[in-house]
Amino acid sequence: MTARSSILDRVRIALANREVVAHPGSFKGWRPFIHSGTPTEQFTEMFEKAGGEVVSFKTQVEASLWARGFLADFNSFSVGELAQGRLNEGVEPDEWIEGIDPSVVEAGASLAFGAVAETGSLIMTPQDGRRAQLLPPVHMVFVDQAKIYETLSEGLVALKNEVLPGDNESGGLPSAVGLHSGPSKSADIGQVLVTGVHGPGRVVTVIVESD
Amino acid sequence: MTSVNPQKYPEASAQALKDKPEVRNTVTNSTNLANKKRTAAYQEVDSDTWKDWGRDVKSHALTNLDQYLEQAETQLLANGAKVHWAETAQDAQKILENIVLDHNISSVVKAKSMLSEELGINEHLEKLGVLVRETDLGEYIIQILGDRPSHIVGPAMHLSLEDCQRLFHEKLGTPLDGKPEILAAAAREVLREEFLAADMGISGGNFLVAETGTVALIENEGNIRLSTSLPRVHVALVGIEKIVPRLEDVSGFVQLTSRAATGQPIGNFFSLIQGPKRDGDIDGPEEVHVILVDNGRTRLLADDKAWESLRCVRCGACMNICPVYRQTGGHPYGWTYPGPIGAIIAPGMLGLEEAMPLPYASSLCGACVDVCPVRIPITELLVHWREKAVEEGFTSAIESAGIRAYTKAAERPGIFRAVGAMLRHMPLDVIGRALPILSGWVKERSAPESSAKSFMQQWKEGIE
Amino acid sequence: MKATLFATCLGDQFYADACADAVRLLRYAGVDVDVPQSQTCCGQPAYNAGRRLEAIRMAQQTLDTFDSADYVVLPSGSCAGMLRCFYPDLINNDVERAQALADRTYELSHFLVEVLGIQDLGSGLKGKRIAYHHSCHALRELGVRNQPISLLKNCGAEVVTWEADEECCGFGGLFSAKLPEVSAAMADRKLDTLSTVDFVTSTDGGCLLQLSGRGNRRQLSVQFRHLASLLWDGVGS
Repeated sequence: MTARSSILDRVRIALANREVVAHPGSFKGWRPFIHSGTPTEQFTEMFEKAGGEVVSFKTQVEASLWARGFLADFNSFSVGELAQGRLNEGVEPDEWIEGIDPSVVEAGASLAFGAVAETGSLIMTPQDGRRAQLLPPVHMVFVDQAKIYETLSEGLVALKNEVLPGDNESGGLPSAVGLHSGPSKSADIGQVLVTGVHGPGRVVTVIVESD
Repeated sequence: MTSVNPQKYPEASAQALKDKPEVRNTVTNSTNLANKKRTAAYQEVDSDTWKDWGRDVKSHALTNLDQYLEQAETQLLANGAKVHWAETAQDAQKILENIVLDHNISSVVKAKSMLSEELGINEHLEKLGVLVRETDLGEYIIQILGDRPSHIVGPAMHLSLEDCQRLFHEKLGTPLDGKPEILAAAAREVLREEFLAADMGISGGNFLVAETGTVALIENEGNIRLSTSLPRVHVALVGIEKIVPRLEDVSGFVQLTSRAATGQPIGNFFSLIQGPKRDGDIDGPEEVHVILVDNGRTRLLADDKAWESLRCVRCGACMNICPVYRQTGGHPYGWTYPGPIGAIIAPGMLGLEEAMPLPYASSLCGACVDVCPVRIPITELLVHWREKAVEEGFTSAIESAGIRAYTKAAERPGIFRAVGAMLRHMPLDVIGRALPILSGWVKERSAPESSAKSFMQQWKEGIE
Repeated sequence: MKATLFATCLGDQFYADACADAVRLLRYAGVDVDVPQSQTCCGQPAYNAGRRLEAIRMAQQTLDTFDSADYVVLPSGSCAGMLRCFYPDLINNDVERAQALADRTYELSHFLVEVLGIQDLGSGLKGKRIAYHHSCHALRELGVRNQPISLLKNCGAEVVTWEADEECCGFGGLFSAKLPEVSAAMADRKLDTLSTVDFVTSTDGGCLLQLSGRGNRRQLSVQFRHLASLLWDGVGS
């Protein structure tokens, strides 16, 4: 008898006379007050409250120009696979900026799949590169305004249903998803809050308002 | 986790109060802070509705557990992950050992996992000559101190800033008055090297989503994302009760748990791990192993009342609000899970005899019931285990005799009053020292003074 | 209106004067008070210790004693809680009667405010600074929170803020004797966070025994007085 069958058998025996409880339905984030602003405004509020920074631009070209300037202030930076194209919007191919190994840089650029307004979260997928999302102490992330979802449920379901570059055609979640909701923090040392322990200590979201 | 010793709770708690009074202050301050944040976070939302929902989803999952476990396994396998089942701690250690040997693992970075504590993973790996590094800052502090975690969310919350400054000065050479940022930076530098060099990352799992085969993990530091992304092998240890049916459900649980644990709308990093890296991924582990662990959970599931404690999302809210826990912190409970939740799952998972007297380490104040995000009826379950303790003969014979005698008298009002009258005229500190049950009282308190005349006496004589 | 007083085992022996004051208060409010002689113990200590069978016997005794009462009033939140919240489940061969009893059972201040509609008793507590300790059972089982405080305030008292007012005092019945060090530490937490007050009060005698016992051992000067007695003081001259 395998451990698997042994455990499942014990579960079944335990549940033999137990009344089954029905699933109550979807989580609706019930709140006494609905946020009055747009998803973008709510995302910005939540993200900034958590210590993150948010900048916004009307077009990708403007955003990319700003972003290149931002990264140039650091001695070195990395660029995620998918962020490459965004970062270099409006740049001649032979002048494309490329990043270097995320483990040695001061800053890094990524592209988010989308964002979530109610929790102030960026949805990060692995195709862009996980090391680029986690190792640089300063993390800059592009996100399209059109992909800022109101609720976490919506964001995750959208991710599940969309076929991402490199995925098989039947959709479904990629190998790993990370929801980043601000700079890395910890209060483990005498209950005092410190940032940048392990993950990026500074996170800047760059919202691109339209294509 | 070395030795399990809930039975020592009475001595250990008394000792802790005597020898380490500063722990009481530190833990009281930490938990006060946590409680303020949680209260504020609950007030921002319809917390009653959230808790009802959380209770019902978890109860639904648990009452259909076999089906969801099978579904989770199927999905994980389809995602390219490997799935193992471990009945006991020894089984889990063995499975992990095989993975370590198969992949020539020499160094491990660990994301915080209470289950790994419960299973004694670190000790086992170290015996195999594997370098094990805790990466959660609180667990790292505990590791270099050579201590045990005292709280399931903040393992080092019994240590003050001064304690940490002394420790970091000794182990990492930081200045004795180093501010927290300095200490954190020193830890970050050390741990960064470990993340980059490690062969394997070991994590727990906050939730296991059956629909998509997802191991979901909540954190604030980023060490979980790093431990599960950088090394070539990732092993997730997940208790079978962590099942959540749908992906959608986890969006509710991460928010509910975060608010309950730290008062945040969501933990800073939330990982959803389906399996190893795929074509098109630049990085990520080549292999992901999920070890589904029983270790007493099915025994708890079989208990008609106590199964509800398996809804636990390990937020720590109950121990934050517990007036008993805060007097000593978690160590005297002698097990991985202290406080109210520890007291109600220990009897199921360890067996009642080994778990005694934890179900009695409570005044039944009920504060925990108010804050539990999945509405575990903690005080009811404490009484339930006490009833079992009485039935199975684990309580004092003197107490049994005393209560039986008392009950007999209570059924005979005349006798009840007569005995009362007699006791009233004996000095209670004398009785206290004689009767074992009351001797505890007079150790720390003045003996109560009986009223000059009993109320029934006054009533008989007429009350003006 | 008639009400029946359940003095409780602890009240009868240690807070007899407070029980007498409860009678005075009820009469002052125009209520005819009866005290059935067959009352003994509600069974809570046995129930909390896991001795269900003994608890059921005492609950049955209590149920028989108060069966015909219009209202059962107790100068104790924990005992009132026992009747209201636990009897219907405990006395499972007589659920209807147990539920009927539960529905007619009140802690004293709850009864005064909610059933009798009394807000003002007098001004006998003018100038007094009082710290109100919320007994866990009164607060969490009965939802009695504001009633005692508003009654005290309306008698002229200043009810001070107290950081630890809703935290358990550490009595917990047998808990206080089984884990005396932890129990005393819990009492210390309450006492150490008190500002200067004339009285510490509560709906529950058990809590007051615990706090006063520890307070006296530590030779603190603050006085501990049962809510019933303070409210009777509040009726004034």
